[in-house]
Amino acid sequence: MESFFSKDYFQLFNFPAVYDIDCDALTQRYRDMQGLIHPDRFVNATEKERRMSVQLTALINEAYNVLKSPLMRARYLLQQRGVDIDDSVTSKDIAFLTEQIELRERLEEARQGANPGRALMTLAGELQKRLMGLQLALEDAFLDESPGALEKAHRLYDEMQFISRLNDELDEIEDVLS
Amino acid sequence: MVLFQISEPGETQLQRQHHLAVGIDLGTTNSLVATVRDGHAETLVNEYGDYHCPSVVRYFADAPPVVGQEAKDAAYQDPLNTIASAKRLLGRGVADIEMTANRLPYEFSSSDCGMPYIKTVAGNISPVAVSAEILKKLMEQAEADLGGELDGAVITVPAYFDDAQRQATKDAARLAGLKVLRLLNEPTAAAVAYGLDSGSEGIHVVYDFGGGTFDVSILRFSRGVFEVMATAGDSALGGDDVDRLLAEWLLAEAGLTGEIEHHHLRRIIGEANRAKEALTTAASVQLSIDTQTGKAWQGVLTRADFEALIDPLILRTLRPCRRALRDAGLTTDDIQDVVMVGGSTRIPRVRECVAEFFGREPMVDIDPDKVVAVGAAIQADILVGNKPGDEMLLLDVIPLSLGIETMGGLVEKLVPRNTTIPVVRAQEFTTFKDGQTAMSIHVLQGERELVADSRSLARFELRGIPPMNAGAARIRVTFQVDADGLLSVSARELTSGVESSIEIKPSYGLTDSEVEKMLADSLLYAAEDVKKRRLHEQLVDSARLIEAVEAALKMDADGMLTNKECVTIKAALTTLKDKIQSEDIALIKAVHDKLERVTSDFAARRMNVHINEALSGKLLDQIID
Repeated sequence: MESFFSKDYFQLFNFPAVYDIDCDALTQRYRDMQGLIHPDRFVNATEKERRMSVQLTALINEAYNVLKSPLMRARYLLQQRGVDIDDSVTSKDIAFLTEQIELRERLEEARQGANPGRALMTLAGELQKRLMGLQLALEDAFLDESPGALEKAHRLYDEMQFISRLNDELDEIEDVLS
Repeated sequence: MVLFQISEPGETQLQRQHHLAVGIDLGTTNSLVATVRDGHAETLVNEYGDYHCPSVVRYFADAPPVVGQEAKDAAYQDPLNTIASAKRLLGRGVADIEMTANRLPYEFSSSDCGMPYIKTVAGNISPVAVSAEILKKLMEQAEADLGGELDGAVITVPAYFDDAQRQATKDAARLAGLKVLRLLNEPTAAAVAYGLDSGSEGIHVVYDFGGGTFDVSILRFSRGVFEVMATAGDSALGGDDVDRLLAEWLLAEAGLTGEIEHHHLRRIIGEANRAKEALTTAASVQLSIDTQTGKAWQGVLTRADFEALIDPLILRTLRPCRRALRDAGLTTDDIQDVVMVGGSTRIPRVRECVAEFFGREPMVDIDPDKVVAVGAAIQADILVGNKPGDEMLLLDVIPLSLGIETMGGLVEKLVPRNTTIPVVRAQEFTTFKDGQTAMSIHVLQGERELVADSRSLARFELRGIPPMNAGAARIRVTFQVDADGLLSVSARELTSGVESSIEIKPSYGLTDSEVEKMLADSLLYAAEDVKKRRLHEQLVDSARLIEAVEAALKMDADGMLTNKECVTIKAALTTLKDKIQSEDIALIKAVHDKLERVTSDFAARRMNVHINEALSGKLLDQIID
């Protein structure tokens, strides 16, 4: 049991610890494991087994959640490689800071514009494209073994984090509008 | 044990007797019970041949309450003592129901547990006790039909029920003396009934518009696994609201204003309900109500007018549909089919709007009233162990985000909505005063940022923190949501390892001891009955444990246990098998616990070995073969 909880998320699924993972295979492995450990399989088992089943299933759920998300997977890999991630620290990258301000303004304009639905949809499309691009860049950065590559991955993660949050805010605004 | 059910041909018959298990759809308006018999799921009928049991309980001053049709028939003559739609009050606060209460024909009194109690001639009755009466009635009906005591039940709840509402449902089952195998979300149950029927892989939407609640769930079904991708809804919107809206229209049309007497209001709501049902097929309906001045008001309602009246309610159901799609990251194009569940989906206008929204005709093949109970029965049959080797699995989610109160009345989310359950999340806290030994944590549920806008679930009082300087203590609080969607909390001080004790005060619910007390005081059972029930529960538990341990020994004793360990376990097993005959609950419980204790390490070892096998990439069927 202990050994199980001390495994990292990649080991749990018996996957190599890389950023570019096969998500379909991950999902399949996740389902196979759920089929073995889910509490529904332990309704008639001893108290101890029932408790362990809940804890293990929760662990597998958490690991799957992290690994299937491009953002959380990047964060997890960075942490695994010893990068200290503090989300409260703002970036020092001036170009990125400027872009953040611009994107925020565009979101605000879209919301208050004459045709918010359409403007928000356009912006959402751009953010999606941006996220895809960041994901590809992260794949490269995590493969790169040269010095500074990890720092680059960290920067890309920060960007992805910002764009994702903005995307969530946009979703909420669309939700309120509809 | 259920997981690695390896049984050799021949011995199966001997070891595995058929367990009696049912699925119960505890509805706002009607409740149903279903079971799997000879491999076929069917709803069970009562002594009158009805599968519907109206969720109505009538209380008397000096006689036991009656449940079902008989109670419903008395609603007009005895409105104050005849409780319908109690499900709407489960896990709710007085303030929650104030909006509707002036239109609900009962009198309420507030209580310590936060839930409103209903004043009746039999005293103040909690909504939990009303639900328990309904469950008990269904349980007795099933036991009479199946010819034995039940081993367990799956009870369905609206997917959008919050923790307090789920807990209240489970408390009601406990009060009724029913073992709950699992609380299952209604749309998930419906999907099971449909999915297993058609075997169709893909993404399904379940649109569940019942008597008192609305839910929408999006599920992916693939290779025997039902995975809930997102769920949304409104736990206070249902067919009742349609009736009420119509009743208000009737009052306005008939020129009735001011206070309306309870029984008169009940009659008008009844007339509204009749009109709604008639308009499912008719183009218009004749209405007539008494105006209390002796004159009767008469009028006509056309279907077009009816639809215009209820369109705002239907629109309220489409918003959660949109949100669920968004949360699942899907568009309507990704949806394979839409399943209709709940009585309110009989309204033609509802079907029309749903078809328009999703761009396809909804499926209505299975009776929308029965589908939830049928799905629950299928799940109950599997959980109780009647179908070893069945690979069907349900992966469900938490419908509403869970969070805790932080500085400034804000909510910090710990578990976002639509996270797959079970889930465990830990959060560290520290003390802010020197020598502080206790701390209070307020747990909330909902999507809003302010505590004031969120649903308060409970306050946890942590005690026994070792005195230290401010900020030195590190208290890790672990929140666990189990497969029933129920929250539990534990805490530990990390620097000292001291386990903090937690005192839970549910905001709208009963504490464990309150349920125990209700059980003891309950009019539901005579003292003798309570004792019999308890013994039965203990015997069921112990029989299960014996079965689990025997199977585990058979499979894994060689190689995983030393001789000494094996002897200890077998001795404890023999003792339990022996004492189970004694009818002495305390004694059986003691030897039962002993067996649990001595098999604990064995259980951990087995789990570890088998999971490592699974991890090393061995396929499920290889392990099972």
